Amino acid sequence: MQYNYIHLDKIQGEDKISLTRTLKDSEDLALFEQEAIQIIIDYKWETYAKRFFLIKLFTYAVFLVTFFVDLETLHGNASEEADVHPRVKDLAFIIRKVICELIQLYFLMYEIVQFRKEKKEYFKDFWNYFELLGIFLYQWASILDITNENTSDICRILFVFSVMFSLIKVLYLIRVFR
Amino acid sequence: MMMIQVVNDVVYFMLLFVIFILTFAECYHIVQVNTDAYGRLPAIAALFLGTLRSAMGDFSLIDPYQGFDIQRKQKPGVHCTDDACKYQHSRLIVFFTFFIYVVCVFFLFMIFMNFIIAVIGESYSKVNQYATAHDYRQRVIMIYEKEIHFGQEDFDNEEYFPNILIVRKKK
Repeated sequence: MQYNYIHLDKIQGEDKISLTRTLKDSEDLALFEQEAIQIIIDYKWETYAKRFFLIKLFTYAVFLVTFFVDLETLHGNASEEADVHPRVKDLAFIIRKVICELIQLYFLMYEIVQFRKEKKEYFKDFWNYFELLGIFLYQWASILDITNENTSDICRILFVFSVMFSLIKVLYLIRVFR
Repeated sequence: MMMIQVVNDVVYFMLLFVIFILTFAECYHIVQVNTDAYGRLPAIAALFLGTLRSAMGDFSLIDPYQGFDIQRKQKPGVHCTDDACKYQHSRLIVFFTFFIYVVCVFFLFMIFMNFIIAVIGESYSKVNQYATAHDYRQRVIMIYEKEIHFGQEDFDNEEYFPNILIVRKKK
């Protein structure tokens, strides 16, 4: 048997977030091959970070499913013979939109809190731009979708872009799994 | 992330690839390759797509029935006897177009495509070598993202921020 003691209190000091900040900003990959570092990261990950990001991924998955179901109804009933199908805006439509909006709002709030805590640091990470742009495009598209009777060309293009951004976001969130 | 690393490594290569495709598309444009199949797209954009397709191994840039040798639509009542009336391009231009086509396929498909695959493969194996370290780095970034949402009571939480970690290892 071998026992390794890692004195975290001495490593992290008074400002407890400084440890992860230093590790995050480190460009040296060899650092992450150190066993002690790996143990610290594993501990923090398993204790609080993993569950948090799993919940985030799950929430986003709910949004995506609702969003995609909503997109499937975009072109109305195709079996009817008409060039333009007006958007069917029944109760199901409203429920889908409300679910999507709530989840998007949650993610927007999350970004705002992150921005307030990080301030200038926030804009250094390019993921954050994608995130904000994704939320913005989705909101724009859904406002157009809700207010207009038919789906306009701009609305379709915006929806395509927001679907693409959702792919980026999924890639971002899927990092929970190795 | 791995994908970003790979994309970063091939970006200059892709730029060169686009320049090559544009050059060949322009050559096709000069000899007036037919672009009817691409509908309302401007000719140079259509030819760019066509060249890209041939670079990817889809050689339907040429019409399967007529090749590059496009026949004119016959006007009713007019019977054509000579080549100039029957075909859109002269014999020389048609031969030359096929020559460009072969050069294009050789450079873009056979050489360039395989180069790109090799570069991506190399970049991937380079990333894969440090996969564990990359993985830990990603997780540190995520942990940091969680920690900035912590309040003082979380920082005082003994479970979240213990004073000592004891790891038992079996030898």
